[in-house]
Amino acid sequence: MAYQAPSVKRVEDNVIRVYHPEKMEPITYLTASVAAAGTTLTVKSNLGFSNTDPEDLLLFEGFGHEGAEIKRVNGAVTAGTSLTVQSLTFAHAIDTEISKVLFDKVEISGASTATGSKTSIATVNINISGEYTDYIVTSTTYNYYFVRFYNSLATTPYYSAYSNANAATGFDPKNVGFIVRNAFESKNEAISDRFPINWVLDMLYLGELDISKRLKRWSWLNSMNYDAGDAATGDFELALPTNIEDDETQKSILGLRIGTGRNLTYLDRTEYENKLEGIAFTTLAANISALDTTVTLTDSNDFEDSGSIVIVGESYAYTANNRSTNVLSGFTAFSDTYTAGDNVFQNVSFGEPKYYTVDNGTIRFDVPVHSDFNGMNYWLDYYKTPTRVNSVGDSVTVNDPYALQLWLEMQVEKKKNGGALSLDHPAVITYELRVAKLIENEIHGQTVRLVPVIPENRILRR
Amino acid sequence: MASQPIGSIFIAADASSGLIDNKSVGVSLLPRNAVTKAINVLFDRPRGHISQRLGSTIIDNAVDGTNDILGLHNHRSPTAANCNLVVGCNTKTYYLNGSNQWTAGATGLHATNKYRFITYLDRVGVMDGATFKSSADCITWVNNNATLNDANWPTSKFATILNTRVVVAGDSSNPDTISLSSLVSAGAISWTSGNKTVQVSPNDGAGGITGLTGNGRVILIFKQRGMYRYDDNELQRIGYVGTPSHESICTDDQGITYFFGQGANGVGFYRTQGGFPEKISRAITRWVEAISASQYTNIACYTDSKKVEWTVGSITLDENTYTNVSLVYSISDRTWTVFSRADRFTVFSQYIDSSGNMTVVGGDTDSEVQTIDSGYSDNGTAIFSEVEMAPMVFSSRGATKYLRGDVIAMAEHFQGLELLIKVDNGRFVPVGSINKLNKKFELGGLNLRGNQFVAKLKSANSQEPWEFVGLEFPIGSIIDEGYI
Repeated sequence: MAYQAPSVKRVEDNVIRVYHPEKMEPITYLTASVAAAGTTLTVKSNLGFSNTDPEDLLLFEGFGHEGAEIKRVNGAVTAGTSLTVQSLTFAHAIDTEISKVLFDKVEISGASTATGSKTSIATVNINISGEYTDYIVTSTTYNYYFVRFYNSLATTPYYSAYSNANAATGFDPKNVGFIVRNAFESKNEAISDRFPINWVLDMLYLGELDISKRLKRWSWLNSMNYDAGDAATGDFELALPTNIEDDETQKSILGLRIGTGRNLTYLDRTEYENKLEGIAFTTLAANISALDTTVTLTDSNDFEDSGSIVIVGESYAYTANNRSTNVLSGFTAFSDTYTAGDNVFQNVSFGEPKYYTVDNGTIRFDVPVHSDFNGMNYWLDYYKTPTRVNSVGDSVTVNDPYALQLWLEMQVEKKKNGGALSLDHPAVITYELRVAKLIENEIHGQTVRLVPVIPENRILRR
Repeated sequence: MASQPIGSIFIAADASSGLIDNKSVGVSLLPRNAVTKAINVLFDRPRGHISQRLGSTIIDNAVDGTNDILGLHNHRSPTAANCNLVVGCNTKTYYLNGSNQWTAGATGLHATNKYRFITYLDRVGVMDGATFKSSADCITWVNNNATLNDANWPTSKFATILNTRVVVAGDSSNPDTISLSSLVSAGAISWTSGNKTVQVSPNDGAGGITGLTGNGRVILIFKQRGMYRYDDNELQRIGYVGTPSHESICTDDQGITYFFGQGANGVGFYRTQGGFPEKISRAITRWVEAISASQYTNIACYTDSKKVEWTVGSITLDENTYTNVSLVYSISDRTWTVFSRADRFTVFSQYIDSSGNMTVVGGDTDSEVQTIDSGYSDNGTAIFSEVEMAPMVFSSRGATKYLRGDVIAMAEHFQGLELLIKVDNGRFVPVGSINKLNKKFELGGLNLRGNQFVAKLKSANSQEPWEFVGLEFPIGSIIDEGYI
C-alpha cells in the first residue's frame, strides 16, 4: 500500500497548486511553552510518537496557522510527557497542537505525455502556514505535471505515490479536481482539516451513487460491447466486471453473446439448476500430467463410483472414486496436461451456451463451451455503477459535473451544519433542481416499448 | 424542541474584570467580562481590551558571571554625576558607568545575602546583614564616613527613614529590635548619640523582623506573622498579617501592598493604608495556592504606579508549567493578571535613566539587570501569552448548542495570535490565526457541539504586542439543538 498521493488543486498558467497532506493521529498539545531553537517539548502525552526510522514528523499549530512548522522526533520516546525534536524555528505557547504528518516537502515532475517518463523539476517545502503549496514553473515546461510528497527529514527519506497526470492545460470539467476546486471556491472554503481531501473524494463518490440511483437506467452508465474475455473450451463460468451495478442478478446485464452469435437467455437459478440435472461439475484440485493415473478433484462427491470425466472437451475413464480424499483413480493416460482449477464434468455434452444465470458476480452457462467457440469474444452489454474516485486526477462517471459540484457544496454545508441539512435549504434545493433537470433530459423524447414475455412452452409452433 | 438558530448576536468584547480564576468564583457567578486564565496580558491598555504585555531588555551584559543579582538601587543626588544605578552581586557592588557598562564598586560584601540600599543625606548606603558601606557616587565606597556614621551603623538588613532618623532592623542577634539613629544634626546622623533602640513585641510568636517600610508619619514593621506601626514614640501591633519577604512590600498610590505566607487561607496579597490589611488576591486563589512555599522568601515586587507585579517563581497549574510567574495587580482597576517571564527577577528598583526616563529595572538570577516593560520580547525570548475567556453558554446551559457559522475575531494588532475553542471538558481545538482586523472564521465542520464553550487566545510573539478587541458570533451562527 502506497502512501497518500498529493492532490492538485490547479495547474494553470505555469502554476501548480497542491493541497496539503492530511495530518494524522496521535494529536497532543504543549503543556509548557517552548522557545525558538528549543529541542525538548513537554506535552500532554507522547503516546503514539516514535523516533524509530522513519521517525515521526510533528506538525506544530496545524496547516494554515502562523508559526506552523514541521520537525522530526529526534530522540528516544519514553512513555510520558517529553518529546525531543529537531531545533524549532518558532516559539510555541502552551496548548499548541502537535500532530503527526508523513511529509514535509513536495516534488514536482513533468512529462511530455500522461504516461511518459517523468523528469523531476523541483522539490519544495510544503507551505505549512498557507492553505496549499504553489510551485511556479519557470524553466522547461511540460505537457503534464505530477507531484508526490517527500519526507526529507527521516533518517531514511521516502516518497508518496505520484499524483495522476495533470495536464498543463488544466483540468477537464469531468476531472474531480475541477469539480472540487469550483465547489470549494463557490463556498469560499478550502481543503483543510475541516474538509480533508479524502472526505471530499468520498462525498463525491456518494454523490455519483446518489444521482445514479435516481433512475433505473442512465444512458451514460450503459457499457455496450464490453469484451469480457475470450472463450475457451470447457468454460462454464464467466466473471462479471467489477463495476457492474448488480452482480447478483441479471438486472444489470443487457446482453451476453459469444462471438457473432445471438444473446443468451437468462434463467433464474431454479430453471438453471433443472437444466443441469445429472451433470456433475467441479474443478481440478491439482495439476495433471500425461502419465498420471489419479486425479484429485475439488469435490468428487457428485461423481459416479466409476465412469468418465471430461476435461477441456476430452473424456477420460476411471475405475474408482474415493470421496473422502476426492481422488479418482484407475486412469490409463491423459492426452494433455491440465492445471488445477480447470473445469471437470461428468455426463455432459459441450456445446453452444444458450442460457445463463448469475451467481455472486459470476455468469454460469447451461453447457460448457464447445471447442468450436474457442478464442471467440464474450461480448457483454451491461449497466455499470460509477467508479469510485480516489484522486483529483480521476474523472467522474456522472455525465454532469455541475450537478456533482452542487452535491459537494451541499455536503460542505451539511458538514458545517453538524450533519443536519433541511430539505428547504438552498443548497439542497439547488442540487435537487439540477438533478431533476438531468433526469428530464435523460427521459425526454424516449418511447416506451412493451415486450410481452411468453414462456417458451406456451409458444405455438406450426 | 427542534433545532433552531439563536436569533441574537453574541459579543464577547469586554475583559475589564481581568482574571478571576475558577476557584475563587464559580462559573455561574463569573462576570461575562472576566477571563479564567490570563498569561502575559493586560486588561488596561486600553481598558477592556486584552493586550499582550511588553518585554524586558538587558542593560549592558551580565553583571558578574551567572550569579544572582542580590540588590538594586538608583541613587539620586543633586550632583548629576553621582546619580547611578547600583547593583549588588557576588560580594560586590557594581554601578552603571557613563558608557553604560557595569563597573565594580564596593567589595567584601556577603556572597548570597540580599543587599539593601538607602539614599540619605546625599549618600548611599548598602547593608547585607553583616556589613555596611557608604558612598557618595556609587563608585568609591567606604565604611568610615561620618555622614551616615558608617562605623557605628548597626548590623542590619533593612532600613527606612522616620522623621529625620534612619531606622534599621535585621540583626540576627536581635531579631525583634529596630535601631533608630539620631535626628539629623549638622548634616549627619549618629548611632552613638541621640540614637535609640525599640524592641518590637519581642518573642510574640510572630518571628523576627522581615521588613520595614515608611508610611507617612509612621513606619510599618513586618514580621513573618505580624505587622506593627511605630511613630517614633509609640509602637502598635496592628495584626497577624506579616510577610516573609521585605522585597514583597510595595507602596503605591492606594497604600502598601505585600505578600503574606502563613495560614491555610491566609496566604495571599494584602493591602494596608496603615490599618488592618485587607486581602486583595481572592480573584487569583488558584495561583496563590500554587506558589511554592520555598519561594515565599524570594517574592519580590515593584510598582510603576499602574500595577504592582510580584514575582513568585515557577508554577504548575492544570498540568501546564509556567516559568518565572508574576502575579500582577492593576492598581486603578483592582484587577489581576499573570505574567510568565523568561527570567526570574528577585529584586527591582525604579531607575531614572541617563535620558531622564523613569523606568523600572529588575535583577534576575542570571546576573542580568533588565529594564521592565521595554521591547517586544523577554530579552530575546518570545513572549508566550494565553487567555481563556469566560465560558459561553449562549442560551440555556443545559441546551446543546452547535457552532455552525462564523465567528469574527477582532484585533488591533494580531502578531501570531491564535484562536482556539474548547467544548465542555474537551481539549482546545485550533480555529485559526487572527491575521487581520476583523478575521472571520468558519466554525462549521469543526464539530463544536456541546453545552459550554470557552474561547482561548494564544501567541508566541516577539513583535509588537497584540491587542484583542473581542469576538462576535453573528445571528444564526449558533444552533440551539435543545435538551438532548
